[in-house]
Amino acid sequence: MIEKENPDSLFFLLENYEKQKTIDAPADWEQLQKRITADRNRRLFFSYLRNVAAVLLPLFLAYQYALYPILKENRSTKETITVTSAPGMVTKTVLPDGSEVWLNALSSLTYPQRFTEKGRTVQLSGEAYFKVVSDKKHRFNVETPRNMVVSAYGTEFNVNAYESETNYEVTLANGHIEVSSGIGPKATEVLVVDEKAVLHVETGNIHVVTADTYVETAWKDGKMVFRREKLDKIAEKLSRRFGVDIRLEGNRLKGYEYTATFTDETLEDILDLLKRSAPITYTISKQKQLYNETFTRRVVTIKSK
Amino acid sequence: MKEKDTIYENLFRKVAFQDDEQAFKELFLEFYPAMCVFAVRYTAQKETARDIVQDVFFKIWKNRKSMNITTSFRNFLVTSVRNNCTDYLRRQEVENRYGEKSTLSAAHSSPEEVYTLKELEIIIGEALEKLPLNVREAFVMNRFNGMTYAAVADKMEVSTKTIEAYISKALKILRTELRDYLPLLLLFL
Repeated sequence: MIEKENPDSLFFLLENYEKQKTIDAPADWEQLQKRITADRNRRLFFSYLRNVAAVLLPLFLAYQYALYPILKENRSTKETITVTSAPGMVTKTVLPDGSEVWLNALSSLTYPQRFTEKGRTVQLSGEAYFKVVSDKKHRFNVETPRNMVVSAYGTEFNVNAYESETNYEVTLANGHIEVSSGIGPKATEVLVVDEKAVLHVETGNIHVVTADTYVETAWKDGKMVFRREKLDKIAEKLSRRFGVDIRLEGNRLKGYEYTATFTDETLEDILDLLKRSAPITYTISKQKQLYNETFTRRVVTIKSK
Repeated sequence: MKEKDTIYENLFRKVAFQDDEQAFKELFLEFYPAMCVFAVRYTAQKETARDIVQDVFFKIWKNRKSMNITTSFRNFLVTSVRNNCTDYLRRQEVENRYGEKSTLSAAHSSPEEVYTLKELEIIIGEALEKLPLNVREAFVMNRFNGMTYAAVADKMEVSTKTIEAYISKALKILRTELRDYLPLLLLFL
């Protein structure tokens, strides 16, 4: 390979110089600069969009996965559910934490759709048997009328708090519970198994006695168990179970005590049995039709012979 | 030209590291005319050549951060423009497959040496200095002012023959003076 001078190369060089002189570089620079600026602006816009997205996305995710569930939880805790048991019926319900509750006749239980972190609180009016799922972090509180509070972590207990009654009773079947009254001198009692706290509604006094858990809780299995039970108590339970009004005529009647267990007997069967073991008679009034096509409750009147 | 090239390297470094648009403008003004003239040899159309060279500069600006120039900036520029031109010609060839033959073969024999306007000014200016005064005058009038021999002769109040002699003398001297810068024809034997 050898290098040889191009005969026209001098002219080429001179020509090149001439040609270059004709090109207007500053004008074309303006063009290129415009292009660069447009490109930069577009890129700035996209990077701005990206930054906006980078800020908004975590916010959105935080809302979606952290804030929204909390807000939802807050909202749902305000929504409560009330379960009511009709006369003669035992209703079983399961609470949001998995605890089971048996509601005796004419009782109602109110609980939140979801329990909060603070604790598990339900409101009870009437009688209920609680089988609380153990959760050491969240206390389970049962609030009754007259501000009695039964507090536990994971136990089984029966609360009898009909508003019509003069005494509220709490019987412990398993574990530990605390019973505190909201009336009068603030008192708190800790119960152990097979003890019963009796709260006198008027004074707010609590006294603890031993109890037969089977008797107190037999109702949830459809049984009525009486152990040396006064007739007026029995009448009250019967009226709740069968949805009738029972009137006792004469003070002497109230002193009669019975021991019995009823399961699927009818009201008449039970009254016959009561009549057989004590000197009493009873009458059952016929139901009357009211103007609004409904019927009155039957009224049972028990008299001493 | 070596010292000059380091100036361009430094300018490009400013462009790459400091996003210096002013430095980029300097590079553009320096090389744009030379590159356009160079590209015209491939494309044969001045407008296309300008578009291609502008594209090359635009891409350089866009990729200034990621670009890795192993040779000189000048070499890089020449290679980029040539590649873009051949790409353009290849596309043209596909578009009119049965059209006229591409000018690629003609371009092959052209030298690849590229001098900027300023460089040429200096080179040619220095060479012209070496010419006798009247010879230089005649040459400049003829070459750069586009006057005919007769016009030059008329202006200088000498005969056309004398002008012819002046010009041939000028070319002879220039050829010797500019030997280092003249494009070489490569012959393969």
